Amino acid sequence: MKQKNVGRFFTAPVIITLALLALVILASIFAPLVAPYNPEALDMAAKLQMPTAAHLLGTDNVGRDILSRLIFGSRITLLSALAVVVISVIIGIPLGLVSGYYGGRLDNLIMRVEDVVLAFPALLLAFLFVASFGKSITSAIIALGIVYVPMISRLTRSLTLMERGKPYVESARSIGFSDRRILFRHILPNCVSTITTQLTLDIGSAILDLAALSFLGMGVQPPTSDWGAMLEEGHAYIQSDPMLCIAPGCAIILTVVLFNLLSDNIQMYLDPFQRKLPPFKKLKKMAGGLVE
Amino acid sequence: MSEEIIRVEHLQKNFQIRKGLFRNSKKELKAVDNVSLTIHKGEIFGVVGESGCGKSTLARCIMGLSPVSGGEVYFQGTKISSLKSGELKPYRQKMQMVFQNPFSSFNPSMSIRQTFYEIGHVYQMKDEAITAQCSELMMQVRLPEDVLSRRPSELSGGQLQRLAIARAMFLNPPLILADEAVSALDVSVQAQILNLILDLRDSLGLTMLFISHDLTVVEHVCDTVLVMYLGSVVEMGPTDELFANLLHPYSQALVSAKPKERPDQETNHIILKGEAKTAMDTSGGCRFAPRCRYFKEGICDKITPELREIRPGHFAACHLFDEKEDTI
Amino acid sequence: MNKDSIVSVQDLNVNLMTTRGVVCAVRGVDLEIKKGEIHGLVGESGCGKTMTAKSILRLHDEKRTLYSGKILLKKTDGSEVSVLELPRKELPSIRGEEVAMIFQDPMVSLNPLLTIGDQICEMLRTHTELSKPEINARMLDLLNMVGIRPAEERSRQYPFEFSGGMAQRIMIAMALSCDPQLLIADEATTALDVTTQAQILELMKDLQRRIGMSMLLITHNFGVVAEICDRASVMYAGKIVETSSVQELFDAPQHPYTRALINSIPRSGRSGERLVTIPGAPPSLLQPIHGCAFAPRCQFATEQCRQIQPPMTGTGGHECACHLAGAGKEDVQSV
Repeated sequence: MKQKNVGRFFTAPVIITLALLALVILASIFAPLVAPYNPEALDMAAKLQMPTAAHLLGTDNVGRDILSRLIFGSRITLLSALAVVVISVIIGIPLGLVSGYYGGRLDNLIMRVEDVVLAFPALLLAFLFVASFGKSITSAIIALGIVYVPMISRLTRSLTLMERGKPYVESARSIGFSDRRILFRHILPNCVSTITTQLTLDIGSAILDLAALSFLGMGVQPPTSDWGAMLEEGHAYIQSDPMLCIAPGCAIILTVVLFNLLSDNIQMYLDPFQRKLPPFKKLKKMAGGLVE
Repeated sequence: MSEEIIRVEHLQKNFQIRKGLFRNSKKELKAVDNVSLTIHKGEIFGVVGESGCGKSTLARCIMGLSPVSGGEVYFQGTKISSLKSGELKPYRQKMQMVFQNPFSSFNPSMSIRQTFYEIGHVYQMKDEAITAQCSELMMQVRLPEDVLSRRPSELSGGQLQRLAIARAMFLNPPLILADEAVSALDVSVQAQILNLILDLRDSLGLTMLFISHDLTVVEHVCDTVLVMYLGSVVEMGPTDELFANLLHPYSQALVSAKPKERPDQETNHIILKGEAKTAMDTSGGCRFAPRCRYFKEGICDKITPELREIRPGHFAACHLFDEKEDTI
Repeated sequence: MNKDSIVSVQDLNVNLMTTRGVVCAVRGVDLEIKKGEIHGLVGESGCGKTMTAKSILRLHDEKRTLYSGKILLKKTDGSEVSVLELPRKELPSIRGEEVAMIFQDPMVSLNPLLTIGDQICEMLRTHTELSKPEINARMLDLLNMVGIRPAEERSRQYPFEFSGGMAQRIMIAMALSCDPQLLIADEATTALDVTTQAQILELMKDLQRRIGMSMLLITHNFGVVAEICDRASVMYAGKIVETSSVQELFDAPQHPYTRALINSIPRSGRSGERLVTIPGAPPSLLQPIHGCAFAPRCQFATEQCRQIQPPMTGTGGHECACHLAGAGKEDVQSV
C-alpha cells in the first residue's frame, strides 16, 4: 500500500528561505536587466553619496552605484562558491566511497592525506596556491575546493561504512556485482540526501571564505569585483561612508544565513524525529475520524 | 545418494585477538573448530546453536567470504577454500544468501523490479527473459506481481523475506543459505515462510543451509541437524532421529530450555550453571565441560571428545559414549 | 477498580502522529492486572502491546500522542491515581517507585560509563531517602537477589563486562530497587539465547513467589506465556481480543485469531508438516477500521462481524471479543 507523507518539506520557513534565495540567484542571473546602473560606470560628481532615490544603496568612492555592483558582484561570488563545492564533491565523494568501502591501508592513506589538508587553514593554503600559481579567482577556487574535500569525504566515508554492513550490499556482492556498480548505484544513492545538507552548508562557507580571500587581495583581481573585493575597497571609508562596507557585508551575511537555514531544514526533514508534523490540535481532528 | 553440493572437512577458523595494555598479548579465538559436514542436493541442512557458537562464521567460511585457517571446503567437488578471491567469484554466485533482517535486505532507493532487472542485466539476460523469470519467481513465492513496482519501504517483513528468497533463486544457484531467515518475523509470518521453504524443497529440489538459534523451527524444516557449541560440533544427525534420541548433554539442555508449549506440560528444565564462555578460554578438553551435569574430572576437562557415530547416521562428541556401545 | 487489581486500564485509546499520518495504536483497551499475578500481553508486531504498556508509565512524546480513557493505579499506600491525568511533575513518583519497566536490549539500557553498582545506587538515591551505607547495602542485596555473585566484586564492574543474560538481571535489579508494585517487561527475553531465557524466566517466577511481584509481560512468544504467566491477554490491531487464565487460553481458545496464532507455532515432533497459516495481513492502523479488525482474515466471519465491532463478552474470567464466541462452532481446531 502506498503510504502518504504528512510531514511537509515546504513549510513556511522553508518557502521563505527558498523564495529569498531564488531572489538572490535570479537577480544575479539577470543582472544586466535588474541592475539600475553599469557597475563600472564612474561618476565622480556623484561619489560617496548616501542612499537616495536615484542610488538605493548610495555610491562608492568613484561614483559607482553600490546596488548595481552588489548585483553584478553576486554573480562571481555565487558562481565561485558553486565551483568550490563542485570541486570538493568531484574529488571528495569518490574518495569517501572508496575509503569507506575498502578500508584497510587505502583508507588509512586517504585519511592521513586529508588530515594534512585539514591541518591547513583555508587561507594559508590559498596563499600557497597563489604564491605558486599567481593571484586569480581560479587559484582561490581551486585552493578552497581542495580544502573542502575532507569534509565531504569523511561524511561520505561514514555513510558508506553504515551502508556497507547492510545485507543488500552483501547480497549485491555475492550476486557478483562489480565494486563500481555497488558504490555508485547502490551505496551512493542512499547517501545523497545527507550529503546534500552538507553541501548547502558548504556553499555558505565557501561564500565566506572566498570573500575573505578577495578581501585580502587573493581572489578576484581588479577591475572585476565580488563582494569580498567590495569590502576591501570600502574598508578605508568605514568611518566616513559606512555604506560601502555595510552593503556587501550584509549581502554576505544574508546569503550565508539563507544557505544555512536551507541546510538545517533539509536535515530536519530527513530525521524522522525532527520532521515537522502537523500540530497537536490537528492531531485531535485527524484522530477523530479514525475512532469509531 | 544424491549429488554432494557442499563438503566441509575439518574446518578451522581462528581469530587473533589482541589483549593487554599495548595490545601485545595475542590470544586465539577458535570461532570454528574442526567442523565437518556434507550437504546433498535437495537437502535442507540445519545448523543450530546459540549466539557465539560460530554458526555465522561457519556460513561465511563456506561462502568464501572469510578465508579459512585450516581444513577444506568443497563445492560440487571443487576445493574452493584454497582459491584466491578473484577465482572465487564464480562460486560465490552459486551460493546465495537470505538474511535475517528483511527490511535492510533490499536497496531502499530502488524498486523491487529495478533490483531484479539489475541482476538480469549484469548477467546479460534479455529483458523478456528477465520478465519471465520474475513472473515465475513471484508465482513460486506466492506473491502478486504488483509488488514488483513497490519500494522496500512499502512492503511488510513477510513479503520482503519472500522476495529475498526469490532473489536468492533468481540465478538458480545450487545452494541457498538462510542465516536466521525467520528469526525476525512474526509467528504467523514465520509459518508462511517455513511452509514456503518446504514447498520449494519438494517442488524444486531446493538445497539449503538453514542457520537458526530456534530448535523447533529447525526441527520443523530441516532434514539434517548439526548442533554447535562454542565453535565445535557437539551432535549431528537426521532430524527425526536426533530429536527422538538426544545424545549430547548440551543438546538435551538446549531442547529442555525451550519454554513450554502448553502451561500444563511437564517440564524438567535443565538449567545450565554459569554462562557460556567465549571460544577463547579453551585449553584442551570439552568446551561444554564447565557447565555439564555429567562432568567427569580428569577426562572431560583434559581430553577433547571426538565426533563419533553413536547411532546409525547420528554423531555426537562426548566422553559419555567412550566405553559404551549403546546410547544413554 | 477491582479490589485486588493494582492497575486498571479502562477504554484506553492512543493515537500517535507519525510521518505517515495518525496511527491509532491502541483502540479501546480494557485491562486489569491483579496483585501478585504475572499477566502476559501477547500479540504480533504492530498490535499495540508495547504502546499499551508504555501508556501505564506515560512514556510517550507528549506532543505527538493523544490519549483518551483512564489508567488507574493503586499506589503502595492504597491511594488511587489516574495516570493519564497526572500533572507531568508527579510522573517521576510513579515511574520507578510504583511501576518499573525493563526493555528488550539490556546492553543499550545500561549506561556504559558507570559501574553497575553506581547505576543501581543512583536509582536508589533518586527515589529514596536512605543514607549512603543503607543504599550500598540495599544495592548488594538486590544483586544477590537476582543471582549476580559475588555481589561486592561485580558491583564494581562495567556493563560491557557482562553478558546479555547478566545484564538483564542487572536491569531487573534496578527495576526492583524501589520496591515497585508492578514490573513491566517488554520483550525482555526476546534478545536472549534460549538457555539464558530459561534462566531469566526462572528468576522472574522466583521473584513472584518470594516477594509477590506483579508483572506485565509483553511478548510475542506463546512459550513464555505458557511458561510463567498466570493470565494473558491477546492483542490484535490495537484491541484486546481475548483475556483469560493461561491454562484456559491453551485449552479452549475462543477467538479465531488466538486459535490461528497458537496453531501457527511450530511444535516439536511434527517435523516436515505444513503449518496452519493466517491468510492476509493485519490492517493498517492509519485508516479507520469498521467492524472486527480480524474479519477480513477470519474464516468464520459473518456480515455482522464486518459491520459491528464485537464487544468483550464472557464469564468466569475468560473474555473474548467475538460475535461468534460461545456460539458452538463445530470445527474448532484444538490446540
